[in-house]
Amino acid sequence: MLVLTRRLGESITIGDDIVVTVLSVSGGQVRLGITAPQSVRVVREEILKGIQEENSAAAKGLGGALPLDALAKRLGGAPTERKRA
Amino acid sequence: MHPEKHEAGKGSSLAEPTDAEFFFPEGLLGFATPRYFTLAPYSPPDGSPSPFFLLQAKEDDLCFPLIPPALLSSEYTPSAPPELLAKLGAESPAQVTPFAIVTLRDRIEEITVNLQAPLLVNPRSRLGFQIVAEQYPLRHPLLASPQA
Repeated sequence: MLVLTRRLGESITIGDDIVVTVLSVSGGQVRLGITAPQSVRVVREEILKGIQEENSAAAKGLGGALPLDALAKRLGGAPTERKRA
Repeated sequence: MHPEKHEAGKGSSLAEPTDAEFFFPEGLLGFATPRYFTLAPYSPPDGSPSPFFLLQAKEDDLCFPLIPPALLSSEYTPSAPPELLAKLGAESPAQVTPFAIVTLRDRIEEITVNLQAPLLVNPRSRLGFQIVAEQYPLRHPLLASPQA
């Protein structure tokens, strides 16, 4: 791993079009500003890991007997709309 | 977010033929392969209605149950930025159909839908991507009011 020391307001460039800037440091927290092309996915690591694990769980969920039948019956074709919390 | 500009799926037709081969150039998150999938409505053996679709990998046994998220919430509008639309070969967000992956679990009440990482597919170009929509929950309960 490349390790660099930066001060407040200083940046690091990655490749030609990605810039990471230290915006603030307080307590144990660092705020970073990231400029990158839309095609580059910028996501907190734990979010991406959560999604990868959920994908994995969803793929395994169909391993045994398919409960989709029972589920489809319970829903009667379409679940009713709900408000998001 | 600019939902008024980049809303995906509103107005896209689920009636469009989707039982076809789709190419996911980047695979799914955590699964670089497979990239070729068949996407088809799921029909229970007895012919009863079902809101589900199956995304079945061509190259192996990997299979994901999907549901159109519009059935769960009309307020669900994952954004599709212009760069993504271009990669999908779509000219407007209306040409893109969103699907959410269903995570089946032992108890029916525990089954959740992943609204945080929807699949966006273009039925015309047969291309698909899984995107990250951080503002939505990773595990949204499928059933509104579980009857214990």
